[in-house]
Order: sequence, then C-alpha cells, then structure tokens
Amino acid sequence: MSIKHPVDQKEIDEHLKLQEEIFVPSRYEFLKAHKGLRPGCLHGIISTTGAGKSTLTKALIVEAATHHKVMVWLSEETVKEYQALISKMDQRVLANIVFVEEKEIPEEIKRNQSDFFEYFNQMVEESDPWIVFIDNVTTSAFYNMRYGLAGQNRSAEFLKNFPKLTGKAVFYVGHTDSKVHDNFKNVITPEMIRGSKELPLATEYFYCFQKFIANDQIFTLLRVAKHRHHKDAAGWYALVFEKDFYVADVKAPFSTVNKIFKKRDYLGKYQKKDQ
Amino acid sequence: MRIKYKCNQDLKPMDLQMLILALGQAQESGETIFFSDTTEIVIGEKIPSKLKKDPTARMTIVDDVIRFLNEKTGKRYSSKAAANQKLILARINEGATLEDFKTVIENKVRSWKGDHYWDKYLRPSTLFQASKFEGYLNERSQKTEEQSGFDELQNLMETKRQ
Repeated sequence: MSIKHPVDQKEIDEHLKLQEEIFVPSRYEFLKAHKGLRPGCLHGIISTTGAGKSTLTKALIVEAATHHKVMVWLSEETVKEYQALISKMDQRVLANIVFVEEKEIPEEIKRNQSDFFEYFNQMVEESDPWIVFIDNVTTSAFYNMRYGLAGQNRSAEFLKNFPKLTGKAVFYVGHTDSKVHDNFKNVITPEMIRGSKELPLATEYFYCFQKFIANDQIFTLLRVAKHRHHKDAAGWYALVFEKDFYVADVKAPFSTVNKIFKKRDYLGKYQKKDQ
Repeated sequence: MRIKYKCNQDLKPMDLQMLILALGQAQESGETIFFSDTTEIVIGEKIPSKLKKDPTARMTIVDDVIRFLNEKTGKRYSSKAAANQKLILARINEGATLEDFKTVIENKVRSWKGDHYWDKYLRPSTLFQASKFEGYLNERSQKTEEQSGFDELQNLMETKRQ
C-alpha cells in the first residue's frame, strides 16, 4: 500500500464518463437504473430455490451475449439443461457463449482451493469473456463446505478481487439460507445468503429476489439492495413473467411494497434510501 | 358455559359429577346442550335458530365450505367425511356463517398457499379448529391492506404487459 495524491480533473471526468457509459443495454428497469451490468464489478443475486433467479439470469446472459463474449460457470446443471431456455430466447447469441461444467473438473483440483482458483483463472484466460456468470455460487466449489467457512471467505475475497484485477464483470447467483422461503414475511437481505456472508459484503451490485403467491398468481419482487453511486438505483421492481421468461419489470412505489410488508416495521429502514 | 372432556378417556368421578350437575342445571333453566365436536360439550350457547331447525341448511353450508376450500386450495377434501362435518357444524353451532368460513379460508390461502411449510395446514382440521377459527377470521383487516398492495402491483405489471 502506498500514499496516494489527488488525481487531476481529467481523470475524474473520465471516471464519471465511464460511470455513465452503458456496456450492456437492458430491457430491465432495475439494470437501467445503474446503467446495466458494469465491467470490473461484482454483481450478485439471491433468492429461494425455484423462485426464478436462474430464469432471470438466463435473460441477462442473452442480453450480455448480444454485445460481448460471455462465460457461464455451471455448478450443477449441464450445458444441455442450461442452454435450452437460452436457445428459446435467442439462438443467435449462442456463438458468443462458452460454458464450464464444474462437474467435469477433476476432484483433485476442486479439493485444493488454490488449484480451483487457478483453474477458474485459466478458463477465463482461455475464453476471454467480457462477463462471467456463476450459476450457482452457493452450490459451486467456491462455497464447498469442505473448505469450511474460512474457505468460503477466501472465495469471497477471490471473487471480489477478480473483477478488479481483470476488468471483467462477474455476476453470481446464490441461494438464500434455509430459513428463507417463498411468501417470506420479511424483506430478504444480502446477509441471508447461504453460507459465508462475506460475499455479499464484497459485492458492488446486489439484488434480492423474492417470490409471493397472492391473488392466485405469482409475484416476483426484486430489490436492488446494493449499487455504486447511481442516483435512484435502489428500490423495488416487480418482474413481469410471460410464457417462459421475464419480459419486463416495473418499479414499485415504496407505498405499495410497504403494504405487502405491513406486518412489520422492518421495512422502515429501507424507506429512506429506496424512495 | 363450555365443558371439555376427552372422548377416548374415562371421566374422573369428580368431572363426571360436575358434568351431570351442569347438564341438570342447564336442562332446568332451559339452556341449549349440544356436542360441539368430538371433545366438547357446549351448554348454554345459542345455536342460530334458523340453522338449528334446519339440518339440511347446515349440511348445505358444510358442502359449500368444503367446495370453497377445495376451489381455493386445489385440494380434494370431502364434505362427507365425519371429521370435517363435525368441525364445521361445531363452528356453525357457535354462530359462524358461510361468509365467516369463506373469510377464514381466503385469509389463510393468502398467507399459506404455495408456502412449502404452511400449505399443508390449509385443511379443515387446522382452519376450523375451535381455538384458531376466530383468530383467522379476524385477520381480515390486516390482510386487506396486503391484498391491496398486491392489487396495486398487479396493476403496475399490467401496464407493462400492454
């Protein structure tokens, strides 16, 4: 570490200009609010199992692959399983996507965390993507219980540093812990991730995905829980599902969301920053 | 007055004495005596007079309640099952109306349907249990606000669909 002096105005202007640049145009309001997926940044989303976060992630993969090369790191699913919906959305983008199935990585590599990180780096180096999607980080070797909580923290550190060192964007998907379920009466927060809580802390753009069943239909709310310096980016968005995927989203006023969570005063602390 | 006893256990002489005394007093004073369900004898509470006189109307309510429950939950409970009949009739005897049953069902469907843990409790034995029914019934006002939140959300989503 060294002492740093103030930078000149030109550098600041460039930095601000970069912040406003859109690298991946998106149909989703929650992404538009912070100018889409950001290079050199760690993005994360959590929800309960089966809430639809992978479906949303696949739509984001299609959007990213329309403009850049994408690497998809699969912890459990096979390429065939995962690709089905992507192909349905837009087959043309497949040329821009490469996959890694964690199942196929030799056990001796997964057994040693440093070897595993090295393998990850190698894969990224070979395919040179603009963004890496990890679906799902909490079931992947990054969060393998054999490393223990300390190991998971090391993975969080690795994933935090990786975008900074490479300039690439990383987007991971994670499960919430077992206490969280659909129709959950509390607001899902980043620290409700399964396993180590260090990863959300290290994440610059964090989304909490929450599913409800009411009026005989499914409602999916997404909360932008963390973002960097983008005005009005925080808040709640209702996702609109049609046929196979989320076709749009709409920002939900705090007053509406508050009614849904009325039972608790818990939401109060989000009011200020979300409004 | 409400006296509870367990049908699968012998009553202790003291309880039996109390029960006989209470029944005698109720009979003398012309109070109603009826079995609320398999574990309860209720003395002196009014059965809605129309329903009391009309067993067919009571059974129609049982049918309607079970049909409504099945519609809302997608389950297949039977109005012919003795346990379901007893519970519903017991609540009718306490003055519950068809609307009350529907409110309880709607309130709890809103909270529990689709929930991996609570969904299984959308069943007559939980919803219409003596100790729970009134509480579920009075969740109405709180739920209405939640309901209106989802209605607003639905409207917002519709604007995007158009």
